Amino acid sequence: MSDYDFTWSTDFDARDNPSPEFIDTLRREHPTEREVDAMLTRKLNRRNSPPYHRPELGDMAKLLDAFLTHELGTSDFAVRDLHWFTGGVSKIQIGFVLDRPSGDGHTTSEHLVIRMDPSEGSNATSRAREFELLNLMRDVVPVPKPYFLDAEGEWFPEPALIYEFVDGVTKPRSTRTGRISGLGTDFGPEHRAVLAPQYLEHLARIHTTDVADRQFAHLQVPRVGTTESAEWMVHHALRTWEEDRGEDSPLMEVAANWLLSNLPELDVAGVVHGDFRSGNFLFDENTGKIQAWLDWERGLIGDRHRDLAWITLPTMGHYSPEGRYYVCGLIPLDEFFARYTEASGLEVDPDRLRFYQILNCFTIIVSTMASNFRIARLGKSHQDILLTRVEGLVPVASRQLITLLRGNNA
Amino acid sequence: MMDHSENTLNAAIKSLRDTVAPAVDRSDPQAEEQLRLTIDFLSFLKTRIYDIHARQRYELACQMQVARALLADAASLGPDVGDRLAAALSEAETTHAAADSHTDDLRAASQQLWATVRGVVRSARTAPEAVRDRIGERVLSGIAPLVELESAWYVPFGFEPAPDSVPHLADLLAGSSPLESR
Repeated sequence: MSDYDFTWSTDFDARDNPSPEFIDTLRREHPTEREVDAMLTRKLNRRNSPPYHRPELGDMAKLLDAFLTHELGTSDFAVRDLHWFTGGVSKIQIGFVLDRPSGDGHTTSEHLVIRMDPSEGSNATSRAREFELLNLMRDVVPVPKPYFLDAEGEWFPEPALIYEFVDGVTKPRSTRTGRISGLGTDFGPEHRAVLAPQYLEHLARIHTTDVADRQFAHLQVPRVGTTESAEWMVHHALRTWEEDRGEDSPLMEVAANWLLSNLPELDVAGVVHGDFRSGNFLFDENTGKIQAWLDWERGLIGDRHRDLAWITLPTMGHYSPEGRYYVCGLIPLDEFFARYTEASGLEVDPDRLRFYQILNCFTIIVSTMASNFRIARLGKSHQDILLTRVEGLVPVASRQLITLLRGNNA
Repeated sequence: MMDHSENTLNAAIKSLRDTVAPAVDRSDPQAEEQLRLTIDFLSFLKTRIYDIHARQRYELACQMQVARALLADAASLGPDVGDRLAAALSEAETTHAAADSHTDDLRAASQQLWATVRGVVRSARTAPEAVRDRIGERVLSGIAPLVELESAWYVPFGFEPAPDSVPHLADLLAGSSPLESR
């Protein structure tokens, strides 16, 4: 099969129904993790399928009933109180209660959440991988207990996992900040004092989780002392850019050249959350205790600098009235890295940090300018209107990217 | 009859806010959120609809400046690369110079020119480091006015960390090219 010409082609509409030649060329040019490759290939093969249509809760209840009968090996249970959750930008979330006999003549009632892909989400990620990460993290940091997995969308319209509902808030009820997915939440001084030490401790625990002697089905462990970790991530981003975009950006092309020429070696292989920020943890508003870390869909095993660069991006936090920048609304940037090293025992390397800052800016532009455009164009998600709104982040991330490529701090 | 788009957008916003919003199921937070975002977008569009053509002209002018700055280095990457860029630039200049160019014509010229610049930057991946770096720097310098325009365009969305420092859209669009507006 001949190669698709990605250097000069101007047919952006080809991405609405990509040919086998288009897909094969991308897979060859951008080698990445097996699970990531599988998800991206699945996305392209299904792109020509119908737009997303919001299911009725009654229909979802029937599907859930059949799935749970299969999983539990019995029909001696009841499902009730299905309701929609808002807040999931890339995934559909439905809460429900599962009643089943406890064995002592009583009935237990468990509050659970279905977390399902739309027809195409802003991140083509794996529910099986997220399920595996949640199990890996259960004894490390607070996470919702995972219960069931429909990895291939065999029972539901799309792949889905079911996990425990955790009570809590993502931001103080009184604040008006963080309205879009919790970005830039101002927690206020009292909550900040209680949340910040937990945030650092949890990040340190995640990054120092021993992965060396474990076997994984959906995660891959990159080799330390090689550029494999960075290569996988860069090619994931470059491939997604090529799959989804509806226009060109020479800025992104310059950034791609820089990334490919500056791949850093991995010093320590650790778990990376991928989106460790305000909006992705639930806490008890009375005690300030973090109850659960959510949204592991960008999680992987690789370089901790990917997380560190992500959470210190200017779009993730906010400035105080005195002009001090708070990382994820919690920790002053001028203290952050020293406190992280103290908590984790891991060094922060400025060169690796810069590399991942540039990669993260690139990734944000891929999602907001390319993936969100394609999804909304084809009507593929439950949140098309929100995805188009987030396109407003493109100039902010572009300015950061220009600054970083010129060797300055964003 | 003159164009009534702004008036109709006002009517649509009023309809959604006064009639549709109270009828939305309060137990469906996604429906409530999406209605709010829809009203927000229509309000935003009202402030931008008559500037779309001027934005397209501004963008094409900016892109032509980037392309001109790359001509010599593109030619050094190979005659085919240089010829492609020169042809796309010439077509863009003709379209931009024609007073009767439709917004769609400007957009098509813009897409073709930017796609050719992409080809130049990708071709530079195997070029000597000095050439690659020079091309990179020229793109970064030339693209700054475009990012400035995008910031001004999207500032009502609320993502700018320092919105007061973003230039006014009307000031940027007052000139027909990025240089004229400075």
